[in-house]
Amino acid sequence: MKKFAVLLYLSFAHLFIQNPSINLVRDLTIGDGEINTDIYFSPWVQHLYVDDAGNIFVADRDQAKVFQFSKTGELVNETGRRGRGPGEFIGLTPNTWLSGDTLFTYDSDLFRITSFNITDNTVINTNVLDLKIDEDNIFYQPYRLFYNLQRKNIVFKLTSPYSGGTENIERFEKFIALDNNLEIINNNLLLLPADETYINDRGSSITVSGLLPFARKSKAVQGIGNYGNHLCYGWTEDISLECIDMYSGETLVSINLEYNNTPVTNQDLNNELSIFPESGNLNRSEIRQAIKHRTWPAFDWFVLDDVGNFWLAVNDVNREMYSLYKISYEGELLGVIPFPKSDQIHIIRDGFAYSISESEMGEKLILRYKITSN
Amino acid sequence: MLKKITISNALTVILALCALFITGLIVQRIFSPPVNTAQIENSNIREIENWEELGIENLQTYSANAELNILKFYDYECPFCKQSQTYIDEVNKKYKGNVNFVYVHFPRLTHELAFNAAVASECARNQEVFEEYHALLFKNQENLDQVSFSRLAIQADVKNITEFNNCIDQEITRDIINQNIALANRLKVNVIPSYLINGILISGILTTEELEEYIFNE
Repeated sequence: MKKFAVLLYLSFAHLFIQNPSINLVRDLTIGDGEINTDIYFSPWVQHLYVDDAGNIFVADRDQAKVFQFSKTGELVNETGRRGRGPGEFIGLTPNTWLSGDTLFTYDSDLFRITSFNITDNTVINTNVLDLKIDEDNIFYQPYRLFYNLQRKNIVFKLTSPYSGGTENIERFEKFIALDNNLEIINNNLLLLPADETYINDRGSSITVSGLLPFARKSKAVQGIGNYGNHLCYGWTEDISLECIDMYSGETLVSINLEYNNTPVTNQDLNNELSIFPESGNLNRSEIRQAIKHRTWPAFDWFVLDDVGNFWLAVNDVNREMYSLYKISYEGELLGVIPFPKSDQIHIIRDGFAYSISESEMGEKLILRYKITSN
Repeated sequence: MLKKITISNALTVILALCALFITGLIVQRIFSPPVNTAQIENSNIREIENWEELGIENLQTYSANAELNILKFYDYECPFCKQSQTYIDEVNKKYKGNVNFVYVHFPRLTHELAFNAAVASECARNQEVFEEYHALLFKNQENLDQVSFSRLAIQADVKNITEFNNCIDQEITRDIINQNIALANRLKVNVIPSYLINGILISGILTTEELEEYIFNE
């Protein structure tokens, strides 16, 4: 097996040689108590936003606040508090946007878009959604919001419930586009399959037990800067990505890279299954059966940077690290560098990569890397 | 003399009536189970029809091996739910293996942190430390708004904190809680804690002794 792994590694080695000059050097950490001693981030911190001046915005559902940090990492503002009143949050979602001094937020529990003036934290506007998307008896809920700063339009990611019925329904993620007045302009911008889940359908009802190990997932991200109108998506089975315009739905770019999925070894399988309980509904042997003959997903996440390059966290034979592929807008592989699996990059702009990682205490950390290339 | 006899007769009648009343109580106790008695006397107790068809065997902590599964509807911000946990712990100690508590999340809208706490507990369950995490959430109930769910997870000894953190914001985890809420709504649970014991829905705290009463009545 080791020999096979080496052979596989060698088959990809040319990628590493192709452009060894890209380098990521960490230059800022927020949330470890170094700069702001009493700031920590909960596991609900899953995304961040960076404005033109390099200010970093972090929305934390658990703390019901959007934190604003300066380019040097100092806390400069906190917006929102817990509650159901104006300017308050129950289910603050991780995605936020800044347009001038206006900060846009979305609460997926209160179905409410709130915009704030960040100079004095006053509420500019609160819009409660009245979206009833019910198709074929599947009721979709608005779960994530993407804001197109260029056209001032909104895209909602809606999800159908995993269960609750008496039969196993096929699940989707549906994207719809709304204009600035929250009128639907495209009811079917995008339809993606939902992440692969392990569903226990014994008995007379269905119970969702978790994501399948090595599950294939839908990944949809928004570009930034000049590419802020790009909604890009892919299915983690292979390296095929497509971007559409967030307003018109027009296809803007498609890229496709040849890739052979890395086989799952017994060791991989055991590592993955070790966190699941031995017994109960989430039964290890059943999961093992469900995922035998699996391969690793081609990638786990990707971003589109401010100059139109895609950066993909690819799973290959090195189990400890991702191979971070940098791919041009035209689909050319520009380079590959190793990247820690504990990190996920969310934004790349102005020569910096902004990622979310974890401290030893398990809390989220915001990391910034300076991207250098010769 | 006549007066003495009359008093004596009256006393005898009273005593006989008392004896009859006590005998009646004993007979009622023997032939009528306390659940039904309570059902008549207490509006907080309701019989649920077709409860076997609710699919409770699919709930996260259901045990097919236990002689009795008791469903507890609760949230982590409810002080009575915390108090009731001490009685459950005592019952668990005494009847481990025979009685199993199935924890059904029912976060109330007024408890703004309860949903998040429920989600975190399910992520701990994925890594076999639900009970430890559940106990820590109750222990920290008074300052749940200041507590770090990740730090609690490390205290509870989760095997993989990255998996825990990834689990937190997944829709699938929210869906597990939503399924629990749907079950509670179906049963028209309106008080937490509430219990479902063999088709009988009981609202409010049950002490160790009351729980035992239901267990032995099983």
